[in-house]
Amino acid sequence: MKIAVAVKYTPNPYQVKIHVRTGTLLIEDVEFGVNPKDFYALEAALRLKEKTNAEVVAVTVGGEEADEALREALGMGVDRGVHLFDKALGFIESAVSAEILSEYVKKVEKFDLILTGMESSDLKGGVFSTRLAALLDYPFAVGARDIEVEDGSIIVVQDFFPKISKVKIPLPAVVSVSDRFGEPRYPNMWAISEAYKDDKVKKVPLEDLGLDRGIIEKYLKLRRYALYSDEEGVRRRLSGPKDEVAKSIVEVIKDYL
Amino acid sequence: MEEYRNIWVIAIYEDAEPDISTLKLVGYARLLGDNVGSWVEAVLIGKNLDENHGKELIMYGADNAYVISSENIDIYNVEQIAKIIEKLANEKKPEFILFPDNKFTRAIAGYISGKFKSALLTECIKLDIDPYERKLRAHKPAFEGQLLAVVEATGGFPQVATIKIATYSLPMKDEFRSGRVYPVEINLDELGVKTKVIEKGKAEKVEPHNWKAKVVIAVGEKIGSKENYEKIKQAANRLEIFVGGTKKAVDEKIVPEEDLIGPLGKIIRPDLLVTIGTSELPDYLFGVEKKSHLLTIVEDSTEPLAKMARYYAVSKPEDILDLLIKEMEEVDK
Repeated sequence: MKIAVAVKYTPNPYQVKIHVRTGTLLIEDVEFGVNPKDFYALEAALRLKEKTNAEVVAVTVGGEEADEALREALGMGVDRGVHLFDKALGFIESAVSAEILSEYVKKVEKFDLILTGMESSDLKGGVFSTRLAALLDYPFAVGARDIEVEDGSIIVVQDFFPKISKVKIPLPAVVSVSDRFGEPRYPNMWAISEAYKDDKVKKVPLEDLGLDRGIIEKYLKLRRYALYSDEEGVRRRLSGPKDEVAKSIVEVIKDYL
Repeated sequence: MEEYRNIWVIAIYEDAEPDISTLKLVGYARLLGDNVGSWVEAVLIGKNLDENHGKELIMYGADNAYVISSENIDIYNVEQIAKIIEKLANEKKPEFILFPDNKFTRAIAGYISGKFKSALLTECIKLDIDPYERKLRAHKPAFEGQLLAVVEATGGFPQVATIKIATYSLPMKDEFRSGRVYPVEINLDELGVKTKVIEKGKAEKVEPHNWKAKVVIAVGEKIGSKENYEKIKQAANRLEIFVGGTKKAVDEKIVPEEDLIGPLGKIIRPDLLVTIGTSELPDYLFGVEKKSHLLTIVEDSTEPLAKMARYYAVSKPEDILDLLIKEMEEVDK
């Protein structure tokens, strides 16, 4: 069995600042690393590896530096890394990274199972996994709390807190892993430094997948960033009759659970 | 894209009642539709739905409604729901597909936009359609909600968006509004759904942990009594929400000392902090880098807490407490 884990290289969201007048990002002194929610997907893959002896491959889509994310994954115990890269790939939205990864899977390397985190801490969409599943025409499960392999299929406990459901889907499949899966292990510093020595990361330029830089703004264009307090028309008040307000408050709370 | 027209609002029914967010979104889509000269069509999916369900959404602002109802529709089967929408969208070719935003609809939106290779805008807190270029434009949170990103769709139809609708008000229900309801028959066996739902249920109850809880409710002295505190605590704990009190509430013996939030008591690190019955921010950000989003219930919209909050509601604590508890119990039913 071969498992891919999609990881994203993201900045620490609490350190990012913007230039208020131009709406551009200031990220010179910001720390980057593996998107925190992707650690749960890595953990899920490594637990499956322990049970089934699967090969685990970490895959990232991004610019030159993004392979740091793969070294971190290698430090956790992943077997090898694949870096789908182009210098122009900075902050890319999930539709673009899903398409690049789907081309890699179609043209270069098949996997039995592709795991992802629930969402990324930069452009946060929570849609990467199902978008990828649609492009590959694979079945999918969302927010896995538990994954078990059962001859040619997987059984996934899906977390739509506080409701859960157990589904069975045939492989190959795409599964996003919930942050209620279980505590991820820490990367091993020694293994990270070893990962730099051995050639465990394969670089695949976009051209090799038949893609060009035009893909970056194929679906979405980022016009600018802004502060909440500066934007007019961004509503913050939950208004209406009291019972509606109570409903709206619980709607907001549910979104964070 | 000449052949694509109309704005769709997807209404997924868990039981026979529509969600408040669905009704709000229909009203919001009505405004968008009027701006760009499009019809608003509601797509209802669920069990035991009939013409009246369609009519209800028309009263809230839709022009037409498609009703897809079957005993075998299972809202736990995300793939099935996504494929139903994909099939109908292939036939009717909507220009825009809108969902109320939550984890479940985001998953569906991802799948559908992937199938059509079209633009996808998620978690929009403000959404417009450019009437000339026929493009969605939105404000959405970025970097854990520390910033806003202003984005614009560039390609593909139907453009898909999920909208955080909580801050919008419920549109007026117009009992005399007319529109057509079309029942739609879809053969579920032909969709090629590979997912099988084996079991459904509720998550096991876990006692909320002050440090791990994603949502924390901080209660202030204006909550009134110990009984009120216990009531809200009980309702919230069922949802893994940690509940604690401010220093003042502890001093006034409304909240027991062991539930104090702050450097002298329980350290918290939530994604969302909810405050009720207090006009101060509890002193909790002690050595924590993460910045929580704040939802506050204040008595006056000019309070500083309301100014800094991501969401706020204006109400006396005693007026809203029981309603809030009732709604929290509903989530878990």
